[in-house]
Amino acid sequence: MISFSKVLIKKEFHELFFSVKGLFYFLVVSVILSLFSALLVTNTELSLLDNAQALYMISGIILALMMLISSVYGSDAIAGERERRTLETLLITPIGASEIALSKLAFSSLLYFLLFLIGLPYFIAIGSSGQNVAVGLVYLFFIGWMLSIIYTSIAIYISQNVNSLKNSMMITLAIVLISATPLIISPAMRKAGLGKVMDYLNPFGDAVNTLDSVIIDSEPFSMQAVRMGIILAYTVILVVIVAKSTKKEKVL
Amino acid sequence: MSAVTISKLFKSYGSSEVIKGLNMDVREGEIYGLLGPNGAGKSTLIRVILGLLPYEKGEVLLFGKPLMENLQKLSKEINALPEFFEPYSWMKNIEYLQFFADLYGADRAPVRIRSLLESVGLDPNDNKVVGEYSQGMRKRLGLARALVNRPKLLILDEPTNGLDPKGRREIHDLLLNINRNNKTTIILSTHILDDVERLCDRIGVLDNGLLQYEGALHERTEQQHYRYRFEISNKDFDAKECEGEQIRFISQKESWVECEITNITPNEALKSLLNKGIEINQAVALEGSLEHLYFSVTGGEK
Repeated sequence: MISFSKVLIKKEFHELFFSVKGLFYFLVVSVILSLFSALLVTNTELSLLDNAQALYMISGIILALMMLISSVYGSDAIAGERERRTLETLLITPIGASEIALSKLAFSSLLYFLLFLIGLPYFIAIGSSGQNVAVGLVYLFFIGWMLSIIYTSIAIYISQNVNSLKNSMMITLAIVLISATPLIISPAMRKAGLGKVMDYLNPFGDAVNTLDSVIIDSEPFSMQAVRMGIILAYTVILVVIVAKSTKKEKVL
Repeated sequence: MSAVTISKLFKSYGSSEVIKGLNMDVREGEIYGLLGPNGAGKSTLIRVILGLLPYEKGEVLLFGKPLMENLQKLSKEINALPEFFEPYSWMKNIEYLQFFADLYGADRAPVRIRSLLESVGLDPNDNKVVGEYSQGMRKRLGLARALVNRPKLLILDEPTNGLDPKGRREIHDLLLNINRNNKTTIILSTHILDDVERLCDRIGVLDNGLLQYEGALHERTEQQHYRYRFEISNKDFDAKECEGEQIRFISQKESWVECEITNITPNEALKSLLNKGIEINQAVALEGSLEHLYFSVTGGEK
């Protein structure tokens, strides 16, 4: 059964605001988005991009940041608590191990909403004079949310199966890098054969392609259904895997 | 009624068998000392009782109910202080206890939490975050956390480790109070034999995955035979004059005398000798003490 502990989510929320970790997340997102926005406006070549292109680029940056922060947070969720020796006291309580993992997963969504709010002014400022701002924003919100759940789930799963925070973070970041790799391949290669299959199977690839399709090409929802379906399927499957696989003896 | 009944318990990590058919009985309302050398399986046994580790074979009953089938309900009635634990360093002491009270669905009223902190010797008005606490203060906070749900069964793993003698004595008094006033059953896993002698009603000595000895500490100390060596400063000391049925002197070398004590505790023997005007500077247990029992059961040398 999928259940959360409100008490644990509240604790994570307080920790975010009372620890260096939370402030670090907010600072990193703000600094990177500020720098990138400044580049889009002031750089000679980037400032020549049309409005939709600029909007797509800032959306991609927001997605990548969410993916990265979700991975770091998820890696710390179990392995970090274990390493800081705070996990055993939690496991002794009546809340189950899967409830702990799912509460952390639920909090990652809350973290995503907060970080999305930070990204919002940048998105609106960059796209203020162009097309598809509203629809792009809606897609970015939902796709980003699902991606944050996907990468946090992967990170939590790894976090409970490795013996240190360092290893957990390294493996998760390697997966994030592999996810982003297909984007390096040229668009032509991604539209045919194996490249196309890989692009469809990769949730991050699906996310950026959907944003491309919506923001730049103004394509309707029907054109996004398959990719959105794949992202949703990843989200549901990974949440179920986290819920089913998290056991006290495994995370201890 | 028994608080914990374990029958024929087997637990392995991979191919390594840590618990090998263990039987254990902890009675309701008693303080049970769990002793054993490092690697004997004490922490594994504790984790099994807490429902943190599954086991291959055997039966674990808590208050007559099978543990694994009733884990969530029983978790509300038990609590523990792990040997290695850290509090959330960014919380203040009251916040920390209220957080755990919420997880247990226990009373989180500030008045109760404050009195709990005071009972373990911590200041509820302390504005420091617990990350700044010393090792001893963390132990006290951990103990307060373990009491937050008013547990019927409390499992403590090395609770006085890292505490100074005054702190240890305070924790002893606190545990005795909890045990007497709340009728809380306590399992105390420790290497400090003095803690066991001061606190425990019965002990179990775990070694090589089995309880090698289980029995009442008080009964054992009354029935057993002791051998002690005393350093005596009386120059005119005459062993034969001081002997009785229960204390028999067997050798004397300079100021040291060796004696056998039967049917009374070493403390009673000591009192009796002091009452006879014998000035005793030191007493060394040679046989019959808990320490001696521990070494004889675990195969160590003493």
